[in-house]
Amino acid sequence: MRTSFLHLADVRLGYHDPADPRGSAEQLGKQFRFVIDYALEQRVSFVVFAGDLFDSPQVDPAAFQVALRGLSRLAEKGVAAIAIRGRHEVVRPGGELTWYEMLSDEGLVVLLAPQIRARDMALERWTRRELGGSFFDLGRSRLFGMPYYGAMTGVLLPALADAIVALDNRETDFRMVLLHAQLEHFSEEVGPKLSYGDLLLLRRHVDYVALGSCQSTYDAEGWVYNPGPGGFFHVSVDTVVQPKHAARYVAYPEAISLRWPPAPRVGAPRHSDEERLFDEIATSGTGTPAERALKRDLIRLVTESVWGGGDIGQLEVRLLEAAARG
Amino acid sequence: MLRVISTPSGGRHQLADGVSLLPAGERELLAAVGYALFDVPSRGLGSAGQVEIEFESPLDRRPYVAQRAVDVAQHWQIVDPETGWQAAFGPEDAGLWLRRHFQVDDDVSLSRLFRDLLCFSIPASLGLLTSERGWRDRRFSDLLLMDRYPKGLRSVSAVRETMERHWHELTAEARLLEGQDSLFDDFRREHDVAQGRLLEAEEQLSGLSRQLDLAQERAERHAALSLDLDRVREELQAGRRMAAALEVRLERWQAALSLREQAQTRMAEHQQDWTDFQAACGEIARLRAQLAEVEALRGELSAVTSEQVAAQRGEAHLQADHDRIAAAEREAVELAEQVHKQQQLEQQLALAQERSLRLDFIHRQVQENLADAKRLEVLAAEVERQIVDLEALGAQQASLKKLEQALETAFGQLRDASRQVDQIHFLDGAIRVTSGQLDELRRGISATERLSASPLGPGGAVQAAERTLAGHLREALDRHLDALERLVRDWQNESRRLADAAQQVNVLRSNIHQLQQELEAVRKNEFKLGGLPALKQHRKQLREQINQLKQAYDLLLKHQQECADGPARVSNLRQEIAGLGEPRSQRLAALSLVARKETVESEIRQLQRAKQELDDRHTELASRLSVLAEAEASLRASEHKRDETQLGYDAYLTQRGLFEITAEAPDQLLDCQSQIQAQMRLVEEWEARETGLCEAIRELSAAPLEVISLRARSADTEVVVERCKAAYDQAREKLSTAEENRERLEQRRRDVARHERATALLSQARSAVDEGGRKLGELLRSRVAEVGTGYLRALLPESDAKLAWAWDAAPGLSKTGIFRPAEDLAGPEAAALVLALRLALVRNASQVRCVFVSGLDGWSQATALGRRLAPLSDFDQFVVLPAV
Repeated sequence: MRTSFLHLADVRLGYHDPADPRGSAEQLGKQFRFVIDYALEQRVSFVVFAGDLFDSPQVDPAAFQVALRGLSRLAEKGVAAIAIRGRHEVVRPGGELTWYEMLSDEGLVVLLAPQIRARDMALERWTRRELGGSFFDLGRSRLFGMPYYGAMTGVLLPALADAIVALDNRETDFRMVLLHAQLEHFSEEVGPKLSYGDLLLLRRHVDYVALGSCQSTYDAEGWVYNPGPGGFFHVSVDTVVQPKHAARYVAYPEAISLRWPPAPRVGAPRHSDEERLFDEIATSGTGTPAERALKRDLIRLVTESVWGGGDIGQLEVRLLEAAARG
Repeated sequence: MLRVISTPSGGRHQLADGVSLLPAGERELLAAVGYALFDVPSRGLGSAGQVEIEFESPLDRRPYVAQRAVDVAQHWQIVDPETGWQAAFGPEDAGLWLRRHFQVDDDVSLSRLFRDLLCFSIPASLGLLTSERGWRDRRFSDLLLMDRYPKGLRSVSAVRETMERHWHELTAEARLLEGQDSLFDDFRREHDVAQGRLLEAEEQLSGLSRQLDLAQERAERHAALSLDLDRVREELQAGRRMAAALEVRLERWQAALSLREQAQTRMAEHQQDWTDFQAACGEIARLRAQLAEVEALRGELSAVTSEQVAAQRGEAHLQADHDRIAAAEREAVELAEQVHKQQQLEQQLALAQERSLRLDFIHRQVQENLADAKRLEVLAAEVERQIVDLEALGAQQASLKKLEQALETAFGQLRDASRQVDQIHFLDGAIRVTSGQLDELRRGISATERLSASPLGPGGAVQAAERTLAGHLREALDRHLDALERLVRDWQNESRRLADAAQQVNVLRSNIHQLQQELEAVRKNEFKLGGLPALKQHRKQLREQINQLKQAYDLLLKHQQECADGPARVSNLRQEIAGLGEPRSQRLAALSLVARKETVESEIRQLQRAKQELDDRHTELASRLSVLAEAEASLRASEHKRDETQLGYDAYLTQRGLFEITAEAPDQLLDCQSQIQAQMRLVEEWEARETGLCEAIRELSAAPLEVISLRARSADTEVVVERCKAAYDQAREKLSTAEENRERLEQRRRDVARHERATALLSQARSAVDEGGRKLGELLRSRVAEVGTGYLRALLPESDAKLAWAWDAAPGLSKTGIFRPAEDLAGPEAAALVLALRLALVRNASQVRCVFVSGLDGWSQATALGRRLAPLSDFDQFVVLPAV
């Protein structure tokens, strides 16, 4: 089976930069049109949005118009658009109809979400009649989607893996999962992280993991991909060869690129500040390098013994050992 | 951040973003938040029930519910309401989950975060700012989460004191050891003297021991030589016995040699007789061998003679056979004509037999043809009968359509009737319902009648209006009642009209059943009629087959007539052939004899040649027999000579036997002489060895006594050595104790030095930690001041306001470069400073987006607090606590 698709995330239509509200909206519109033109030109089979297509559940009409026109062009050419809700699109329970749901009702977007039950998860095929479902079949490709669940994503992944295994996937050659979560060690941004170990539960059953929710672009072991807001992945699939897919990152042209404000980073923990200061103290004094190294070791010895989980009763012994060595 | 707080007492309080004023007397809500989210002890929450807090995690901005039982603190869980799944369960897991989501450092407890940082009072904080320095610094150190530094430094000081105490102990011990070490040289001298004595005694002992070893070696050699002497003497005796035996053997072989010389002399005397006897015997043997073939030649001669006679007889027999063959040849020529005639008759007979056979075959075919024709006629008659029957059924088939139409009509009637039955049921139900309504209406009428009939009371006008209303109601009810009664009557009439519908349904069902059976029977006939064309085709084929059989029958009859005379002709011809007899066999017998003619003639020729060969052989054998007669005479002469030399020959043989028996006597004699000489040499050698051994034994005879003497001296010396060794051990023990003491002294001196160095290192490290704490304090203060400045500018209208906080000073407000401490500030400014400072301290410790503030009442009213706090994007909620 051969196919190709685009993987986007964190498009965030409707975002307004406080410094340049009008310009940022225009740039985002241009970026989205660039994506649509690219998809039609490259004749891709489908486009996936791994969360945060919009900047909020209720966007302004101009941003919605951009999305509506672009998705309508895709639909006219038979290019499916599959999406999940991201962090910025979370709707509070009991909310009214959102633009997202309206697009889904119009058949322009396939919105995927699993049915989470008391102890497990149920996956239903997306149908046009129901306008809802947990996975979507396109030829011999099968796309699963799970919206943003924050810190619960890692808890829900085993259930998702079990539910995928329980399905009859024999007629599918290529399976992918859409998630809106940051991958641990790949993202320094504030927010819940998904460990790669949790994701590995899907490794045997899924050929491509499409992530969103992080500003940086990365891919993990040619299996997990996060495009970030600065571009998208153009993925060619050929299930006859290994690996089944080849992903190429396409950055937006410089003319339509948008400078995003840096996402809040995870602050350095207090102990790293302390270590830095103590290193400075150790290296600032006079003496030979060996004496400075001894001083650093002594500080570490004392701080570890006093509040680093060490035994204060052993401090004397360790100091005597250090004195014997020195 | 906080959405809903549910307390064990059933209280439920919703909180919105922004400033929320906690009602007075609702301190239980604060305790509930502390208990369920920050693990604060559940004081003020009663003894049972459960706290439930709906909140939004600052980490993933999703709602969660924290539930914790008051009576069982272990029952603490975090639930995701969207999925219904547990995010964490149990104190450890829930605490860890909350710490991660609130982004609190591992060394800060949640309860402390809540008590010291999230809940604060503006007046108390202001009081802290204006308090005396020592207490203020300690308190701010706590709020900056740096309290571990003074604690750590105190611990380090305690360790240093311990180390100093150990150093004193070690120094005292070293001095004690130094005193003990002063006797070390005396012990060493004593040790050296004892060691010298011991060495001397041991040398003496080792010398004696070497002498003893030598003496023991000589004694062992003496014993070994004695054993050798005994063995040599035994060997000497044996050698002498052997030499005597060899001398006896020598004498015996000397006698055998003289006998041999006598036999040789006598053999020369009888030599001539022996030679003659040998020649005569050889001649006799040769002649006897020659005469042995005489008998064979005689037998062969008689055999040749008998073969000659047999050859003559065989020739006569063959000649007789040749004559008989000539006669048979003539007879065969005569029988050839009769054989030809017989062959002609046999050809005629074969033709006649063929016609006879064809007649039989045609007869059988005619019979079979007749049988087939009969069978086909029977089959055709049966087919014809079936066709007639089916043609009769075809007439009935016309009624099929009529039956189907009738059935359809009956079904339509049945549907109508069923509909009527349903209508009856509906009407019955409607009548029942309407009757109920009628009853209700009648009850309503009686009520209105009572209302209209009631007497006028004090409010006469109002009651008159009610009566008028009751009258109108009564009239409307009457009309409704009439209409319903008419409707019920109509329905009853209709129901009666349709009453026989059920019976009609049963009749129609039985009719339909009957029609269905008839239709089924007709459909079966239709199936049979479907086979009629096939039967007609079959009939046609049968007729064609019968015609073909008739034609074949006619043809067979014609052939039968043609072959009718075949059997009679066969009989005649067989009689003629029998009259001719057997000329063919007779001729064959004659010809078989004639065939042997050439064989007999060649045999006669071979026999004549063999006869000639036998004659030649007979002549040759006769000549050879005459030569053999002469040889017989020579044999008799040789036998005579042999008898004459017989005695001389025997004597010669006897002497020759003796000579040959004693042939080995010279060699044996020489061998015996050499053996005797060798044995004598051996005896001499043993005698010389015996002499040598005796001399050696004599020299070593004193060794055993010497061994005993040396052993006694060694035992004495060993006693002396033992005594010296004991003295030496004692001296060595004293010396080793002194050495150990010296080593311990050295060790203690090293320990003292090491302790001095370790204490110095600890002091150095302590000062470094102290310095690090100061630098960290400066860093944190600058960070808090920076963050607090942002908050302060949102709270105060002045854009140049700045929160300043130096290391050794209290936080204050800096405006246009002028620093003002808290005590110099006015109410709103001081409150804004304190609030900004406390919020920055919260942000320094965690990412919790909700704070609980007290003492803000007056200022909030004065400054529209909600509007001022709104720009603080780091916080969602400000819960204002009532003044206690």
